[in-house]
Amino acid sequence: MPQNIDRQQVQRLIKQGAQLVEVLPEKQYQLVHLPEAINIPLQSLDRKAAAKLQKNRPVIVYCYDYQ
Amino acid sequence: MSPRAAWRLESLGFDEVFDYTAGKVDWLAFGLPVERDEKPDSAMVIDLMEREVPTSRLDESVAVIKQRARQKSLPLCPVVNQEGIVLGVVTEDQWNRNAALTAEEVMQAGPTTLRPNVSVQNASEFLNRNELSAILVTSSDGKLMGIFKRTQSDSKKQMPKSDIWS
Repeated sequence: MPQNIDRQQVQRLIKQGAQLVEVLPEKQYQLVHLPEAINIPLQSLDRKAAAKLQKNRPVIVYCYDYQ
Repeated sequence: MSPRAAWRLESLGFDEVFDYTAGKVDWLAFGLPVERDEKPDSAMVIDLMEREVPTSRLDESVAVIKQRARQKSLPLCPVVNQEGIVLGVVTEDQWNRNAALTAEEVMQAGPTTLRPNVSVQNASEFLNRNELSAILVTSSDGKLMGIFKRTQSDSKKQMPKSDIWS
């Protein structure tokens, strides 16, 4: 079950090797994104896109805010 | 959006999925490092906004608010609670007419605010369209982050200094 986390937990998990995924559209990702985040827009999130991620590492997803 | 993405990843067999619910706005709000488009026209409100903004409590007098805002040459003063959440705003027009009243009595409740990652171009258009001289900038949970003034949008359409993004 996915867990909600805050900023401090994000920073801690990144240090532990977590993968960051921005799920906003590409244009918004290009404007600004978290360091080393990759972009998989929600509408494109399928098995093929998910193959970019490693299953043995934690994954953190984020978008704009609480939307 | 991110909750659906998190659940989708779980359905695709990922065991450790986390949702940073406060998202990009929260990250930006705390000035943490980011990677960004380097085009000159991609400046955002957070790059140019004024961060040192005087505030008022609900029970403070308009006279005090006026003095505080004028020291910073600001045309408005946000009214916030102890958590820094914006409850209202007192404008120049209001403090000039109602000096003896309190912020709560004269403030405009629930003012429109901008998010820090709105582009300077869009923010400028918004100010012009609504004939505003300044607007508050808040995070997604309503906390005051700064104020964006028309002069900032008119004269400084440029990228931020590097120390802002460290």
